[in-house]
Formats: sequence, structure tokens, C-alpha cells
Amino acid sequence: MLKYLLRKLVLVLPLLIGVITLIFILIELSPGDVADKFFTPETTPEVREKIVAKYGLDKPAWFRYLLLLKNLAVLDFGTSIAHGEAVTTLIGEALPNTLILSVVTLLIIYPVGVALGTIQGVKHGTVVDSGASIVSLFFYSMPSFWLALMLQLYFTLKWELLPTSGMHDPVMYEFMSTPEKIQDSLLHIILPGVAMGVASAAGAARYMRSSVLEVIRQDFVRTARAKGLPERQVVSKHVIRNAMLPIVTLLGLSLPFLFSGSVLIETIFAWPGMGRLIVSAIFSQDTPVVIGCFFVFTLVVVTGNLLADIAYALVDPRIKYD
Amino acid sequence: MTAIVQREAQEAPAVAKAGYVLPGLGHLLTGNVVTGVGMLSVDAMLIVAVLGIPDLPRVIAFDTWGGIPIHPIVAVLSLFGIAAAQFWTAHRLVQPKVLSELERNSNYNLFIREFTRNRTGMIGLFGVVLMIGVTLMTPLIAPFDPDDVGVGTKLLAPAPWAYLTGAPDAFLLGTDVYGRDFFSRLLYGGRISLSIGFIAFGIAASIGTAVGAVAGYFGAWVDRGLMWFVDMLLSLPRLVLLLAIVGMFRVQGVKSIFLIVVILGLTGWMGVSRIVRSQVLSLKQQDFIQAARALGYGSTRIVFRHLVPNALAPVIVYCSLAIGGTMLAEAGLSFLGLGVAPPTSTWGTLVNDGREYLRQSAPLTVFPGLCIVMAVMSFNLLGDGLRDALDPKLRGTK
Repeated sequence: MLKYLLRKLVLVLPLLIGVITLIFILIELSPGDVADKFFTPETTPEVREKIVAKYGLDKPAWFRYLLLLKNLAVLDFGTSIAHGEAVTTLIGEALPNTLILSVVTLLIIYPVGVALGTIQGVKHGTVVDSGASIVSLFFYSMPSFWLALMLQLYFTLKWELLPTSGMHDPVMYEFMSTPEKIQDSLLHIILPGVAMGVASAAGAARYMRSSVLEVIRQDFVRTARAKGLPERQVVSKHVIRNAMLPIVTLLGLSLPFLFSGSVLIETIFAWPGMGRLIVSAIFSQDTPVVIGCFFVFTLVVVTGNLLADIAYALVDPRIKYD
Repeated sequence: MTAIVQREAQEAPAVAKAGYVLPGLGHLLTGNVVTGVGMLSVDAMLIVAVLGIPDLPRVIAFDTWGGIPIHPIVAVLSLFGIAAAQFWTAHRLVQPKVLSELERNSNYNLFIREFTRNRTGMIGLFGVVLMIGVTLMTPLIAPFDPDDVGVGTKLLAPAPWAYLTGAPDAFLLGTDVYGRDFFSRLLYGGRISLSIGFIAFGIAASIGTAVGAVAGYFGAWVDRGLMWFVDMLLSLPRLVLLLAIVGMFRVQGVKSIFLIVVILGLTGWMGVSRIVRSQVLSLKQQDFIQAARALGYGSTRIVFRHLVPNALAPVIVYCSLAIGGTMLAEAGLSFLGLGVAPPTSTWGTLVNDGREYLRQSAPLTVFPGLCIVMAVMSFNLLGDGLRDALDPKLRGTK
């Protein structure tokens, strides 16, 4: 197991270098002078000189590429052009916010999907099953940004139940007591969480349904029924446990999916996370931030995959990696 | 051994002949509700299109492509084509094709029978047919020029009844902020959305098939190298990658449908390549490939004439599921303002445009979104149906 993980970890490095190379090539290929991509018209000459030295803008492309790799190797992402702050600071502020959103989404929305899928699988072929199938397919086919807008339309504009955007109340938050702060934050996370999670919950339901269907036909389920276990126990002790195994993998794999979704959801809900950071960086051609964000996104994906592997081995003792 | 007997043609009930009057009516009356209702909706679409024929001169004035009214011509041809297909299907119900026992059990006929029995799959099929039909016949169906700002007052609410009874200044789905007819905009937007989805995925499927087949067939370091590249691309969230590419190239003013299509195609092929690769890996070991090799065929011929055609079934299923994904990606891009340039619009840009007026006129956001959902859902239903029909393990379970 440990050996397997180590080998996986070693493979992360070429992957990261590959991604960085790809982004570097993209930046090189995109029209316009290289130097222009690192300056705004307002950049002062002193800063300009620093940036030129930092990224070797007066040097040939291969030199800049190696310089970039060298900087990244010591985790030096450079300074944002648009904000003038260190990229690490920007990412350090944004990453936890996206993680909070993703984790809350996973923990709350995901079990709903899994439960729905289980019910469908157990009641296979009934009206409940086909009805739920249509509903989950409906949400699975829905663009998350549109769902977000619909939620805003009904829950904030029409019914005025929940706040429109942001992580907490812009004015009152400072003056709140701790329980009030928690309540305020929870109210703010509901809409983006739902908008982000519904599609993957629907995906989980579809996945869980087919997984349950596969398990429920197997011999050990028949044995469990034959020895007289009540159906309730057959389902909870034998079917669900085994059907959950692939879902665990799916959980790890959906982390990158959620991060991708955060691009749209965070823009709509003004959630100060990674998605919004990268969108604004791309729009303002903030090259160092773009590179830094891609670095982090890739790391998240790789971590998600690794977590999926580990979790799978933990829940299923039959799995042996070597 | 199965005897090759000519079966007697089954006598269709007399009510099936109703299909000659209105295709689909026969299916409905003989108890095939899904097909019946599906065909009747196609009829409805055709009738609306026929009613639009007198309007053709007006349409030709604005809907041209390089001076040639290619869209109106396609629309009229499609009208006849779809009508012919409808009547042919109605005719097949009255006079079913006589099949020998052997033909009945051919893979193709098994697949057709299995698929037509699947209710949700058929719903998806009719959804896709309707969508493609409406897309092809948009010039005949849309009541107004989608970019004409002079047709109505701005931000009117949808007024379907008033519109149908011919009241002045009433529009089926209302008007947008410039007073353009929103229903027409939705139809023309769908035309672009669907075309982008199809063409981009066509590109993606071709690249994916080629890469997957080459990787699977040659194996060794070719396989490892290509799959490493695929893994690398897959480890980047697609929307972020799209954003980076489009964003960086856009600022300098390169912004067109073609760029979007190509970029969507270039970022969407990885899934296909994995599927084709695994198919090829298992096919490679089979006798007919050995035979082809023994006959001295070249690698190119074996890969593209023998391996790829046999690996296509799961690819088709994946494609129908992934076209929806491509449409969603396009919608997301457009929503961020990085899609096709105005005044051309897609469903994604319509949602983005409507967003500013969410408070004043919600339908501007609601309807394009619903269109996306329905389109993607139809493709997903169709894909699920195809998968079930193509999977021999599931055969006979329903």
C-alpha cells in the first residue's frame, strides 16, 4: 500500500511539469508581446524592471521556461500583476474558501444522491424508480450556472429567504456574536452549495442505482434472503455496504469536478475562492496567478485521485495495491 | 439449427391505417403510446413549418450565408425529408417488413427491437429528432428576424394566447431588452448551440478515436506516452482549461464560432480515446485481427478498417452522452462572456444576457436554460437507451 502510494506520488511530478509546460506553451502561443502580458499600462518602471528580471522577459523562451520551472520548484509563484500581492497570498486566501464550499457540498448533498440511488436500485422497475430516474437525469443535465440563477431568482429575489451572494453579511458580520456569525455563514453557503452539488448528487444517484442493481443480483444477497433475514437488513447490511464501494472512488474523483464547477458558481455568488480568482486572473491576463492557479488545480485533482485510492483500500479489505 | 422460414406477414389492425392521414396516429391507436405521441409532435413541428412557407421571401432577405440562402434551402429540403420519413414509418406499421428467422436475430435487428422497447430511450430519441428538426427548419418556424430590434416594445412578458389570437404587440415568449422577439432568438440560438455541440464533438470523437486506436494497437511506449498525455489533460478541469485558452486568445480580438468549436473539440477527446483504447486492446487479441495480419495488411488498414469499426458501439453511446457535456461546456463559456460574438447568440449567451434583467423579466433567463436542460436530457436519455440496447448482458431483463 505504502509502496503503491509512493509510486503514485513520484508520478505526480511529471504530471505537474506537463501541465506547466502546456500552460507555458499556451501563453507563448497567445497573440501579443510576452512583455505585454506581464504589465499593465500603470506598471511603474521600477516594478517593470523587477518583473523583467524575475521572469527573464528579455531572455529567449527556453530560458524563461526553465526559469519558471526553477521558481515553481521552490514554490515561488511570483507576484500578481493586477493586485501587486504575492500569488501565494492570493491562493492562500482563496483556496480555503473553495475547499469549505466543496466539502460542505460533498458532505450534505452527496448522501442525498446516494440515498436516492439506493431507493431506486432496491425498488428497481417501479414507478418510484422511473420517476426518480427522470428527476435525477433532469438535474444531471442542468447547467449549474442556470440552477444558481434560478435559486437566486426564487430564494432571494422572490421569496427573500436567503442572502444573494458573498460569504457573509458585508456590513453586520463584524458586529455579530459567534453563534450569529455561524448562522450567517451557514445561510450564505446554502445556495452556492446546492447549486454546485445538485449535478454531482444526481450523478451519484445514477451511479449508486446501477451499483445497487449489480450487487442485488449476486449470490450472497440471495443467501442472505434465504437464511431468512428481513429485507430491511439485507439491504442495509449486505447490499448498501457493497454497493457503496465504487461510490467512495467517485467521491474522491468529484473533488476536481467541484473545483471546475466553482468557476461558474463562485462568479455568480461572489464567493471569494479559487474559481473567481482564476476567472479574474484570466480576464486581466494576470499570468503568474494563472500559472499558480493551474498548479493548485492540478494538485487538487491528483490529491483527489490519491484519496480515492486510499479510501477504496480502507473500505474494501479485498483491495491490495502492489 | 434455426430453419430459415419465411414468416407470414402479420396482419396489422385496421386502425393502423390512420397513420396515413396523420403519421403517428396509427401507432397511438394500436397501443404504442410513446412512438405515437413522439411522431405526432414531429407532425406538429412539420405543420408549423409548412405554415411558415409563405414567409420564405422575408426570411431569405436576412438568413443568408455568403449571399446564398443556404439555411432556407436546407429548411425546405428537411421539411420534405422529415415528412417522408414520417409517412414511411406509418407505412411500415401497416405493412411490416417480412423477416426470416435468421434476419430477425441479426445483431442489428436485435438492437432495434431492444431499443424500440425501451420507453425512456425512445423519448430521448424523439427529443433529439425534434431538436434537430427544429434546428434544421428554424427559418420556417421562427416568426421574426432574431436580430430585428424593431418588432416590438422592449421587455414584454410572454403572451402565448394573445400571440396565437393575433393581438398586436404580443409575442409568444415576450421580447428582450432591445425589443427583439425572444422566441425567434431562442430558435436561432439553439441552431448555433446544437451545431457547436455536434461539430465540436465530431472533432473530439475523431481525434479520440484515432489516438485511442493507435495507442491500443501499437501498445508499448506509444501507448504509455499517449495515455500519459491523456491523463495530464484529464487532470485539468475542462472548463478552466477552456477558459485559459479562450481567455488568452480572446483579448487580442480573435473571437469566432470556429475558434470556439475547434477549442471545444481539442479539449473533449480524452474520454473517447480511453474507451477506444480499451476496446482495441481486447479486440486486438481476436482471430480476425490475427487473420488480417497474416494476410499481410498494413497497420493503418488494420487499425482503421478492422479495429475501429468494431470498437464503435460503445463510442456511439459515449458520444450521445458527451454531446450534452459539450453543450454544457459551451454554455458555461458563453455564460462567462467568452462564447461566440454578439449579435450571434447561443443558449448560453442568452442566459448571460438575461441575467441582468432577472428582476424585471425572468423568462429571458428561464427559457434558454430550460432549452439547455431539455436538449442535454434528450441526449442523455438517448445515450442510456442505446447503452442498454447494445449491452448483451442486459438483454431480456426487461
